[in-house]
Amino acid sequence: MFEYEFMTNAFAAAGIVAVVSGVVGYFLVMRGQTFAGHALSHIGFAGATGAGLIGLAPLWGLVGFTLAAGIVMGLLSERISNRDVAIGVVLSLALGFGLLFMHYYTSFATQAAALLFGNVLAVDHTMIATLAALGAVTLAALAAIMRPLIFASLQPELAEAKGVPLRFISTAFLAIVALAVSACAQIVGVLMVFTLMVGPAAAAQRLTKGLWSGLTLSAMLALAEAWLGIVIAYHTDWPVSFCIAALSAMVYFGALAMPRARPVHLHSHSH
Amino acid sequence: MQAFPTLLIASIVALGAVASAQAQAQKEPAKIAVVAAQNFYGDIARRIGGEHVNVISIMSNPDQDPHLFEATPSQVRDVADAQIVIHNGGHYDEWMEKLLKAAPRPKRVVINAAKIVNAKHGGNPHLWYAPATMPAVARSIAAAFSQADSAHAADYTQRLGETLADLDRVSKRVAEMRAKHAGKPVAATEPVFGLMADALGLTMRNQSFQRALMNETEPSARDIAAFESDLKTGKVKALIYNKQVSEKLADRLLSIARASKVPVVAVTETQPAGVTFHDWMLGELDALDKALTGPNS
Repeated sequence: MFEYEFMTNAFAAAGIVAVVSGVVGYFLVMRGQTFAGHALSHIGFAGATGAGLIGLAPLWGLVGFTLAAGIVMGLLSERISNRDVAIGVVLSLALGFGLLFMHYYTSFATQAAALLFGNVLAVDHTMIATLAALGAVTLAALAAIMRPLIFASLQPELAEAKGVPLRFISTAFLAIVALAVSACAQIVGVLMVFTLMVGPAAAAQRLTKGLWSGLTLSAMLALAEAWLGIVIAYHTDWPVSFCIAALSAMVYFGALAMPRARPVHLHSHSH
Repeated sequence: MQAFPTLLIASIVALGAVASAQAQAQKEPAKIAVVAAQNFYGDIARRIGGEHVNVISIMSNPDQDPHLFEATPSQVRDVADAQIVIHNGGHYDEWMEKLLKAAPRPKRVVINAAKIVNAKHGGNPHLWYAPATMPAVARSIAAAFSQADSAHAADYTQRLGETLADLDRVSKRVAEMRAKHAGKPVAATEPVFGLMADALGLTMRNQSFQRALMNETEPSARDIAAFESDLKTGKVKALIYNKQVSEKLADRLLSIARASKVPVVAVTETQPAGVTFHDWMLGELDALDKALTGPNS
């Protein structure tokens, strides 16, 4: 299996993306913002088709569009009482643009379908370097806002009283999610970003008590699912994204069957 | 929950053992390993290479929508192992360009039809429907085979000659039909036949509609209206449609065409099983010839 360079490339790319997704996804689940993550991945699709239209690489359209949408969502979320409605409107607008961009394609738009399901078997060295850089920026930004983010997520009222800038933290976090989603979509596709960003994080949250042990388990689960998914795909010839998605769902349902480690659910940040 | 991971690992190991046993069984000496992205290129390669080559065509099912394609792990493995890779190029199969980069191999020969015929960037990607494409690709394939396996160069040259003779029948038929039908207006649901229509000198209408359908977006309301009125008023002499792509809108246009007594000609994007490339082309040309010589034209 490792005699093939495309397989070692796949393991490297999936490894980078899985760790970033597991870590960022953990905060996403903790803050109860999974719908925002879902929306950002679909918004990225519009960005990617738009990039194709002006001759840019789809990845940069994905990054640009999700980043802009993440910031808009973050800014709106503190102002509008119903956060999900704002996200839904931004999401459908972006999907509409995606269709418009494809309408103006004068040549063949095969890249679009590849983006929907990802293709980890077609990763080259340039893509690995790009993903590594994207992952490093994402994790560094997360580390920079980690302390106030945890405080604002767990005890928003107290954090606000102590002068933590809630809207800035929330906006910065969604921008970080946007970067993680862009990387994740390269591997499992925009339709299945949840498999690496939400599945492992939700399972980890269920199985652990502490923040750090939860973060670690989330990253490890994502990594194990991604790599094992590739191994299974290699031997069964099923699509990689399916294998990762199936593992992610199995681990999550397995975790649900286990006794809950945490007496009180950490989900907070209600409006 | 405890038993499950063990079971999973056990099944993976078992599958691995089966896969490596298969790999060993397949090892035969000294055939040139060839992968063709599409089966029409694979067909030509098989004809020229005969028993000296082992050709795998990735897209070979004419019932599959070629626009929604994702390579499986074993297909990527075939590409990684191939000494010669033949593909259409020119944005038609960007997945193959990605796979070639993801699975590099020293001294692999890549035959890119778009590069060989110098296809216009952003032009119609269905190059195999241009009568000049296949003879040029066939020559490149024969040259690559002779280089990889000089011992059988004479065989390759001889079979190239036979292949070119067959392809010449297609070109002759095109020239004959052009003399008869040039300038006649036709419509198509998709641009797949476009380059052949150009070679026949036909006037292709409703092109922006075709692009939208190929890229799975919505054609504009104006495009649909123009198309329907072309059919209803008999402005077009035939409607060509891609049998391989099922689309509600295309189906609707087909029924309008039938109701308006506009002859309908079915073409496929991928070569059907059991026919050679030139027979496939000649069959479609015959059907079109018949449609254009009908009572309505």
